[in-house]
Amino acid sequence: MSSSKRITKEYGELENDPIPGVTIKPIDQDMYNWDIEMSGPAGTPYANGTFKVRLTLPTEYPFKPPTIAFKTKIYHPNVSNDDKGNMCLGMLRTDDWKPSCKLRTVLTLAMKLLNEPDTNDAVETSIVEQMKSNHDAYVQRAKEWTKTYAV
Amino acid sequence: MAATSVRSFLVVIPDPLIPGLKANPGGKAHSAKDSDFSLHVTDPNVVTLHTADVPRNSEVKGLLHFPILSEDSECFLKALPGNTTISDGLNASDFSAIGFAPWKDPACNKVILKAATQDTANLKGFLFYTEDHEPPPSSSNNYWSGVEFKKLQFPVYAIGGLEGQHLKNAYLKWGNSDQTAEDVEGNFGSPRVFVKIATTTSVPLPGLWLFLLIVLGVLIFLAVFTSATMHLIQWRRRRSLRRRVANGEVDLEALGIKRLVVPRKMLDKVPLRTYVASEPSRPPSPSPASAPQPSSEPSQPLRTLAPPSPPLPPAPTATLSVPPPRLPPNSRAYSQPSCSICLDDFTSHVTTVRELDCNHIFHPACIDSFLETQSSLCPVCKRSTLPKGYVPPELTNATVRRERRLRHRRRREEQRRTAETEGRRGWLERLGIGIGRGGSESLEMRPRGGVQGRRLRRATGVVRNDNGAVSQGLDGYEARVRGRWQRGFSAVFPGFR
Repeated sequence: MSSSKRITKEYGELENDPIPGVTIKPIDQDMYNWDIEMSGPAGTPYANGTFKVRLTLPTEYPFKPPTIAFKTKIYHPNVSNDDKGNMCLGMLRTDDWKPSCKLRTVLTLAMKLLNEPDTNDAVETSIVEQMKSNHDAYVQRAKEWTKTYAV
Repeated sequence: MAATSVRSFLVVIPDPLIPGLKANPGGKAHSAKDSDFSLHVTDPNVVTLHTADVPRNSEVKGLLHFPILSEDSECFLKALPGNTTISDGLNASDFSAIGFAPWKDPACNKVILKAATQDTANLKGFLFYTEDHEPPPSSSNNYWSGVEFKKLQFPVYAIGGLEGQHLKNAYLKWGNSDQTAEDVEGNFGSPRVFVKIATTTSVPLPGLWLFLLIVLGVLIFLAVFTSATMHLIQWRRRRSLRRRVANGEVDLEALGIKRLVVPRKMLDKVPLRTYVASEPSRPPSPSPASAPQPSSEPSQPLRTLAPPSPPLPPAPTATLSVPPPRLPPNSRAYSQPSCSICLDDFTSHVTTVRELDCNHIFHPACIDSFLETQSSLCPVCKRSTLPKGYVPPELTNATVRRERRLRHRRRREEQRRTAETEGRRGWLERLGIGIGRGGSESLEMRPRGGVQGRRLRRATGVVRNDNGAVSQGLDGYEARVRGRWQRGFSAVFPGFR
């Protein structure tokens, strides 16, 4: 299967040249599920937090997009606030995904979202509302959550 | 069984008491000669009060007999005019008899029925007539209460007042007299009123059942008619969409309506070439038309080193910077160093690659399985590999529906936009302000945004519903979510949502 070959290759690349703030746990038997830890970027409400993220690759990868799910609760407009914690990335939509996209790009983009949330493409609209109306309250809340769940 | 008709006419019974006359041989009764009495009462005017297990398709018949009550009894006086004496001779005779009396108050009805069972040896049934109702009330009516018919051994029927009077008069005139009459065979005897009550010949459906059947039939007809109509409409819509796709008016894949795949036959027409790395010294020129993708995107291939087209081999190559003799046949130089599906590097002069119309190259094994199973769009730039106007072999109703929805939404947006701009113009003219450029721009973007939003919601729905198994396409997803019933329903009634 070409998917496993490509996944191994991409994993190797990420291992040799890791993305700052992104730690990938070694994949043992199940290469379709990656356990990743993302550290909250400094200067954001998520600083000092370590967020566990599950990257799931479909068997049709790279023809079908991977999914990113936060296992650690996070107060973020682009991460669904339920037990799945799906992160909404534009490029991961079935219709917009291109097989030429690499996981490095996906993870870099995910890190970028932690740095600056995308309010135009949010899952949690209530958080967007709050960010617009009362940004301090949002920061406060996100910090609290980071402290409670991610530190 | 219920009675369907009552027939009555005169018969002549042998009466050996009359001397000098030829008696009816064998004691059989025959119809009377020259009689002008006959009565025929049918269904709505005959009511069955008690069936007493009379078999279907049989007749209850006998001579009409008024039960003999003690003649001064109140009930007798109520039933028959004064000083009438019952002398039909049927009491204690062997002739079959049909009891006959008007329906009176409950006490008298009981008395009459009791008398009838007592004074005739061979009572076959009883016929009441109403004096005040025409036709008689139905058997379930309260009018008939007061008598426990169930206990009776013989069937009980009723006819209306008019026929009842007619029959009573005939009984008093002939059936109860001792005059002599001649029958059709020339025998003489006493005339008597003969009554024949026919029970149901066929089983007509009771009204309610018939009604239900009709309703059911109408419903089935409507369902079949609707189904056929909807199938026809869907067929015409499919045909229309097919035509529009073939004319290039609709691009199914670009609109996100349907995922197309490339059939093997067309795939074989996409050229295979031997990969040759482009000259490393030559800096790759970024194509301005490349898709706005993140930095990791492989750069666009360079076409500068390629011969213009295969049918023109003797084209002068002196102006090109690479000497062609080193190139193997059917090869081209590319700046794209690796296959963006498996990420493996191509080996110059060795690797066979498939080149799409957009000049992106891939391993044949990688790109073929993608184009055959996933999408007809180039994995790098999303340009379609199918010719314009290509009509996919199967256009489903779901596709038709999606295309219609999209088209309608666009039209609605357009209408709203024109209405809004017109409305705004009116407003602004009044206020003396020009139209802001930004406003109309955002409106222009709206339809596309709406589609995107819808698509996004669906896409996330897929992700949330099955972790990882995102293999379902749009059609597959819809089909899976819908239950078996719904699928059956939409097979019968295509077009309903």
